[in-house]
Amino acid sequence: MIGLIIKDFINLKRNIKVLGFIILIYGISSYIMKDASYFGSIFTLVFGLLMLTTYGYDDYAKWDNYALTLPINRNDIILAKYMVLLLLTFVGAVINILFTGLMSAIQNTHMDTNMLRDALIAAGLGFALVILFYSIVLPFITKFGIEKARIICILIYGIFFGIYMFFRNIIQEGNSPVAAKLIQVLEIVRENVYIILPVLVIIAVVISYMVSANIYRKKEF
Amino acid sequence: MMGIERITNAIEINNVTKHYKDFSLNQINFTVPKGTIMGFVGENGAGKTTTIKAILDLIHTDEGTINVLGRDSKNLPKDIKAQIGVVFDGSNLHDNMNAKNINFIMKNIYPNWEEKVFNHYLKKLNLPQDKIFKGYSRGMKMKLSIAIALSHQSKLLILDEATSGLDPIIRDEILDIFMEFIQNENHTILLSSHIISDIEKIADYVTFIHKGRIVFSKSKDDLIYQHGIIRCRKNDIRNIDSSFVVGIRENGFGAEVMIHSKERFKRIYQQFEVEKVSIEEIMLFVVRRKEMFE
Repeated sequence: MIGLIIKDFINLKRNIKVLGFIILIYGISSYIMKDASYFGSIFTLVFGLLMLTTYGYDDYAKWDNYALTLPINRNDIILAKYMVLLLLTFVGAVINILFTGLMSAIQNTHMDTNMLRDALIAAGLGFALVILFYSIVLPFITKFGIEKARIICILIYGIFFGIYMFFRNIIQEGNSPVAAKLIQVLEIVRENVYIILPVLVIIAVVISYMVSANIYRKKEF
Repeated sequence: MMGIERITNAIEINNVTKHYKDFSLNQINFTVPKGTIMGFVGENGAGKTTTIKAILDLIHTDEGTINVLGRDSKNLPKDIKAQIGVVFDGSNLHDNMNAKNINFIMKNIYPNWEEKVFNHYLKKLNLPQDKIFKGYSRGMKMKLSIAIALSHQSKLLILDEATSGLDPIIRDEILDIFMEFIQNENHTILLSSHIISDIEKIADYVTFIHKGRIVFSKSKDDLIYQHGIIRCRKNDIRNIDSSFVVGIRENGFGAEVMIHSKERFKRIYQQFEVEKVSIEEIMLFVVRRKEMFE
């Protein structure tokens, strides 16, 4: 199975130059705007996007047909994809943290523990959101293939965004009891974020993996 | 676990049926004896690839069973899969990789991967290590797939149209490698192709599939020795016992009649000169006969 993970990373090697370019562009923009945190999470997102690229490459090469004749079983192929997702998003989050740290060092902003804590939470939140997004998307990709699943990705992204805007509006409108309740819930989530996020991510990934593996087992090539 | 030495057939296919909307595999039966090369022939769309996919458990069959190296082909254990080398029509490898990358990946997939053997084949087949596959020709990609299939102590090679679309020189080179591989009595090859001349050159057995059904699965030598063609006038056909006749091809000058049981036929009908046939001719006559009666 390690071979499958290596395969995806070798395929992505070509994208490293593009990523370097993105980091540079955002670095310059952040320097000019004197705010690193604004752009930090973009890396988690970009690395997450690479996940779709790995599916694109496999699809184009008709890799799965061949992979299934190698000494690996169908579950291995799915498991490897989830490992790649976790690794890519993790690398994205680490770069995100390094980027924020580096930018504040360059700009001579004093970074106190509170800011560090916020930066870490922001990175963790980005990580969790990307994983949650893919936990929903990967079973669709497994079922329909990357081409058809692209539209579903956009749809799910839209739903995520819609939910976010919905709650944001409620809170911004202010004084309703719903808003107060919501702020209260969010406050609880914020305080227990160290527990809630990891638990949520683990549950989502495990369920998603089981659904994908089940779909893949029945698939024909 | 049953060792490869103790089985007699590398592949056994029993009554395999698979229905699609516009195509069916019907009651497929044939075996590939260990230590032999089985040529699997038929026109495009006859069901060769579907049968091979069934053998490899890439599709779920509706009926029947398949044994590969003595085990049920469904969910083959990894140690058995590691002994099977598969080459598909088209390479299935990512365009932005090179042979070095493949070596690294396969080293981490095959427990029995042999880096030295792989490098030996790369050299022998003139495949550059650093060039990405986008720059490989079709022939090079096929040779690379074959190099992979031969680099993990395979006992069984399953090759789907591995020689089609290649020029005669490369095809010959590849056939030589297969002949070298089959020298080991525990090695077996299933080679599907619509290029009959390749099959005639190297196969021990020939299985002919037509419209999703197996027409025959026999030893190549038996097929060639048992069949013959006579050229005669159209009127002469009436005098031939129809139980000998495989098919008739009429033209302006007369008729060509393919017969089986050649030796017996020769004893009875000494007036006809019986000519040798090729596998290709047998296939054409058999298909025509089938279509006449369908």
